[in-house]
Amino acid sequence: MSLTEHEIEHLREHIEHYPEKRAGAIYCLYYVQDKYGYIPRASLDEVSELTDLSPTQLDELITFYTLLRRRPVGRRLIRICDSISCYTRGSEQVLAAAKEASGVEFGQISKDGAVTVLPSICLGLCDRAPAGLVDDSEDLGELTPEKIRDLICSYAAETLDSKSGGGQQILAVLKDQQ
Amino acid sequence: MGTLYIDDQPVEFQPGDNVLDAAKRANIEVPYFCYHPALGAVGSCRVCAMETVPSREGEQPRTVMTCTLKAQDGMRFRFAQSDKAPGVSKTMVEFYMTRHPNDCPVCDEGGDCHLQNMTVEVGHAYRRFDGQKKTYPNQLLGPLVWNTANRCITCYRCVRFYQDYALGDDFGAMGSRNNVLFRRIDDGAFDSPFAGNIITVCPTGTFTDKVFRRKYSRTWMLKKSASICAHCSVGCHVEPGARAGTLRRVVPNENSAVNQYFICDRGRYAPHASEAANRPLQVKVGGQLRQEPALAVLRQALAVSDARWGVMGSAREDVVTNLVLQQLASDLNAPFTAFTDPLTEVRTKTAVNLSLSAPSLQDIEAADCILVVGELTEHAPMMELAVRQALKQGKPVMMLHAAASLLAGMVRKQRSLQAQTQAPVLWAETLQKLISSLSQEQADGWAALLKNAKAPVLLGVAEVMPTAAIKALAELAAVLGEQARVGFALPAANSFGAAQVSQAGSSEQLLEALERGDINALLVVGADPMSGWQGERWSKALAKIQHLVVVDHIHSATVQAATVVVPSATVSEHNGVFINYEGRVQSFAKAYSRETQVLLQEELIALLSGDARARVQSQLLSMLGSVMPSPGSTGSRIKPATLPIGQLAEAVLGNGPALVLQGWHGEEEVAGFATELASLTPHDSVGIAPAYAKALGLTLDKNSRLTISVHNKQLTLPVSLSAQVAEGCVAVSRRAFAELQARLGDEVKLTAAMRLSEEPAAPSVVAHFTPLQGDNSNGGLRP
Amino acid sequence: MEKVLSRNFHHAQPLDLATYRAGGGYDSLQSIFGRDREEMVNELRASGLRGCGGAGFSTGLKWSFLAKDAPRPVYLVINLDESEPGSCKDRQVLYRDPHTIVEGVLASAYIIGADKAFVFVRGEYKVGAAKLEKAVQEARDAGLLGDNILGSGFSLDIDVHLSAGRYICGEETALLNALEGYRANPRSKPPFPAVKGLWGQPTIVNNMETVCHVPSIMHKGAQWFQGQGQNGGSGTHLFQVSGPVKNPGVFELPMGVTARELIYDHAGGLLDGRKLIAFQPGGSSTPFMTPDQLDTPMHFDAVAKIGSRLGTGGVIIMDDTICPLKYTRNLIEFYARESCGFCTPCRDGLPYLVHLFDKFELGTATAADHQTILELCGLIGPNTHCALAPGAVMPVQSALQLFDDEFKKHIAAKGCSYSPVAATASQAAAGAGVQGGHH
Repeated sequence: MSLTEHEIEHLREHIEHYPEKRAGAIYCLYYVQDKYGYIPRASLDEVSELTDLSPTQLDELITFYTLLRRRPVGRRLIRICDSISCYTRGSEQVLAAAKEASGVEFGQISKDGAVTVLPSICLGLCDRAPAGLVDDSEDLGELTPEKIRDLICSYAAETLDSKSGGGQQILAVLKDQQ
Repeated sequence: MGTLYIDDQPVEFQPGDNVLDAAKRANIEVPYFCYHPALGAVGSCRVCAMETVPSREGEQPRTVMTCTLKAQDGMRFRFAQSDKAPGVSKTMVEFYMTRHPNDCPVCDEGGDCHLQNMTVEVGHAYRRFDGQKKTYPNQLLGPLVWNTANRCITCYRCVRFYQDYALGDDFGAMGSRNNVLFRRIDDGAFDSPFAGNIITVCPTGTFTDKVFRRKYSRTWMLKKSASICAHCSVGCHVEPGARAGTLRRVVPNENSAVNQYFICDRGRYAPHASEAANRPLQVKVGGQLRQEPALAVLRQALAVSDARWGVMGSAREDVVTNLVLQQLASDLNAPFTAFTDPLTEVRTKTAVNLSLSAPSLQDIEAADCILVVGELTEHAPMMELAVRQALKQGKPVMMLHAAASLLAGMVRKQRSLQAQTQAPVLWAETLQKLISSLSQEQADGWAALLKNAKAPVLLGVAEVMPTAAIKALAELAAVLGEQARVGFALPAANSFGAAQVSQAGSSEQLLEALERGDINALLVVGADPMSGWQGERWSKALAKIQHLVVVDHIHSATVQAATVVVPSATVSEHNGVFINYEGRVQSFAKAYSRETQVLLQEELIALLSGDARARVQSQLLSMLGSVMPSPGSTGSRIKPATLPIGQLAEAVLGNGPALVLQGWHGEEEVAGFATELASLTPHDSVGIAPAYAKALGLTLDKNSRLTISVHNKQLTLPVSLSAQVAEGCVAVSRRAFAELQARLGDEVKLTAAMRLSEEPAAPSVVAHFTPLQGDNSNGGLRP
Repeated sequence: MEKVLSRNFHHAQPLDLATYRAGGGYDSLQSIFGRDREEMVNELRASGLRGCGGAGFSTGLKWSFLAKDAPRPVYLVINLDESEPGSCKDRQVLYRDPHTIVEGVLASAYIIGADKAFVFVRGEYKVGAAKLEKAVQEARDAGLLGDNILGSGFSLDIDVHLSAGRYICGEETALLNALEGYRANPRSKPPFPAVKGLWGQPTIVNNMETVCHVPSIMHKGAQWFQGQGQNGGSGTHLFQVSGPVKNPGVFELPMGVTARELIYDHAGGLLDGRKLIAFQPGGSSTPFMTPDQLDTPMHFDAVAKIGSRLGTGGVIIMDDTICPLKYTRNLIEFYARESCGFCTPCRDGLPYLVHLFDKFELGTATAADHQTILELCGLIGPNTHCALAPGAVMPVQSALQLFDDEFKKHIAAKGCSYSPVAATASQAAAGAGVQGGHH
């Protein structure tokens, strides 16, 4: 598990955007996370080389910023807003339904590896409350308990490796969870 | 200078003070947590509140945090008179107590706890919060520091010391909101030589002394004294604490002229060597333990009829002990030295002669350009911490070194061109070149940095520097002019003092007298010649004699070879005087008495004739002046006359690889017997630069091992490939040197040895997490 | 009123550069390049443009704090970290018309003489950041960014920085720390960013919407901008209405439109059968307004005058079906969770308040707890390191006043008599896709 020379070159180039190397850390961490679905410990040593931040200093960032993670998630990561606009339109019930449909606690990977559900702060989709976001890129709006249940069911039907990076690691974690 | 007013009382302040500084100076007891005089103010605890007094009509009084306000002339505040400010402080403490456990009865910090004091001071006596207290996982941090995470009040002092002040990078602030934890990414011991100070700066029992914990005493029950650290030549002020005749802990003793607030981990944990299981605590004669008093046995031993004596003092023993031994030698008509190694003696004395305007730690901190020659961290950690302060401010720091060093790594990371590796035999030449390029119109590189500096500081490590390099460094300082200061980390706590009492060439003369058979008996106090740089010669010479009387408090190789062993007191167990690398005379006081019979060094005086005693008195007077500094005071600096040195041949540039020392910041003669600290000693290896290995025709990787041959000894060690080792050199530990009975700079032969077994790389481990209760902002995705 | 920020929202896709320019895009540069910078700052001050990120500080005044001989480089940083609950306006522009942002940044950077601009985009807007990056690249390719732009002698590049979450990044100094690769703890002020900001250099931090107003002000003049407002407000603003209304959305309207027009005419009024109890005028940190204040003009001064804040102009509706205490608890929990953990009152005081609100829901609260909430709000608000916690306690203090009887009822009845909040998907939403901006 390591970055290719080409990838390292790309990251190095990006870091040069900034007067100080550490400003490129978030980008590098995102890059690793996009590649593996999470940020493995070994990758921190690689990012450390690039940014001059120690693995501990990188973890200071990862544990601060909500969108970075050091453990795998399901093939689909569903964030559901629980802030006030969505709350006034029933996000509590949507979250409860999502948790039930996933069969596990928030933050855990469903038994089939398909989803991880997380409550989220306001997603800027107040006009579509209750709202959510899948894989930090697909908007969900006007959610209802039924809608979210259907969505999670549809994700269960997707194939394991249809998403990059995740497959094998998710299996390993699932084994670990049991 | 200026005046502000608190509760209508005028309060004088100094330039740069914030309002809290000024209030503290005026002895106004303002509560605070995150503020620390060395770490400054960040305004995170919000406890040091006062209320402003409006100066204009229509302005409303408001509460302000005094640590974040620069003191200005004429400012007015209400503190005790304020209706609002005390409520703010009290509420902040109430907030802390919604998380902080009420485990004071079993907390190591209890009775010595800033949080406890402040809680009482602000009057938070009754708890109204009736919710559940959040709990946090502890982290295992190695043998020296213990973490109790629940007690943390998140003042950020620890991480501000560790990262911002001491420039460490393996400990930080994790998480956010009321889930901030101060930890390392992985469990285990700290990399920093200064980690123990997080115990000192922590205002609660979150970080406590793990060694102290094993032999805990309530801190107010400890017997304490103002003492001086005995584990390097900086002479930091420490306060040992003991109970029931045993040492329990050592903490820094605040002072303004030497180490100020902090000490290094060697200084904090090496003194626990006094509690080592194998410490000699009883007289031993001919291998038999005896019940007699130490002094009586020593007197008896010295009275044997057939003995022609030699006497050896030590640079780790205090000034008085060495003076007494010198006079005892004179009574016995015996040769005397305070050094075990002729080369070290020459280098130490050369350095001492050139140290008369050595920079203090604060001078180093304030330097605008620093040149370090040798692996400073590993020899004088606190001197290095001072260098880090300059480094942190972006001041240029240059380093010339031969083996891997924490400071070199740091310098290289900041400006890669400013750390240069080179074999020690070449250092003098390099420094001379620097001197000649200074005189050129257009100096560049290091010369330009030094030339443009207003307060440059040059630091050398005397033990590893060839005499010519020591002289060249001082010459460089002289060429730079009066603004430049040069100082040397000396080999031991009292090297400066030891140099004053030994004749030129004293150790070589004593050694030769032994080798010739002129003397057949040796009294050694506080030294271990058999493990030092001349271990081979000493071992051979001592094997021949009938009487080897050793006075010491560690189970050294020399103690093990002794015919008579007399246990002695450690620094915490007696009074004495050390002279540090600057020539600063500092006395230390006994903290406690050992319950067993140990010889107090000052008792040695009983062995002297009346004349000799008088000579000790007068020498002490002429050396230190009439005023003996009291323990705890930072003393004054002496400027002794130039010491005669004598000649000694040093290693020259050879063809083969030369041995250099791979030091470790926790290492020193005594420290090796402090169980917990010594457990962190890095695994022995042979350090070599990849490029040099290649030039030697060696194909090496991380599983390679090399056999080092020198004289008729051999040692096989795993290879540690490091670009920080100079070309032409291989770096090994002090232990390896002792085992090889080799000297610094010895030429060795290297041969490839059997490789380490190739274990498959450990599979990547995925940590298992359980979400914390109610922790839904990240669904427990964080550890 | 002319639409400025949402003028291109009727297109199904964000405009490419050519189409954007065909509609007059980047024309403003002609009126800006070459003109005296101080004069432009003065014009901006005269226009009455105020920061749209929530604080409502005069933009021209802020820019005038930048010293004329400020050490180089000078940075312009655009705050696109919109995270305040109830605020969803910046997202609309980012996703639907990124060239408007590029033009706004370019115009503003020229006026303040910035050497480089960073657009700090919250991580949840990743897709939008990519759209903006594309627009930036188009502008670069067309010579609208880079060296010597359109022969003006002015050079600028825009760096789109994708952040990684957390509300606190919207605080300007926390944002600078985040951008530099530190944990986003707010910095002590002074020094202010205009003196010592990004990497210690003079820095102007502005909300995205704010800079997007600059080109048209420069193009059409301060007077024109003032004329766009109503009832004492200047210019237009992207108002937002969310919560139990028929037509939640984002609406570009004159600054100073009344709350009544906004909620009832544009957002369609409350869902059938619901009654308006109160509303927050500008995001979740603003004190509540009540139905009797519906005719208040929605501009900074008018809203401040009645004791609330216009904030981001994101109106959130509280109706009669939701327990006001539950509603307030949700707000305070959000802030407790989003605290950066730096200072005590925010980190440990806000969770204490959450705990006290929980007691009301569970029925274990007493009059003393009611009193404690009041007392703690007063001690947290003025004593924190940054503005997060003051923003958190403001609506609580306002709830304590408005819903005093509700607190008492909860104590007397040993719990809450309201039903849980029912899931109510937006009615207008069926098949509508992303909406807003239409009215």
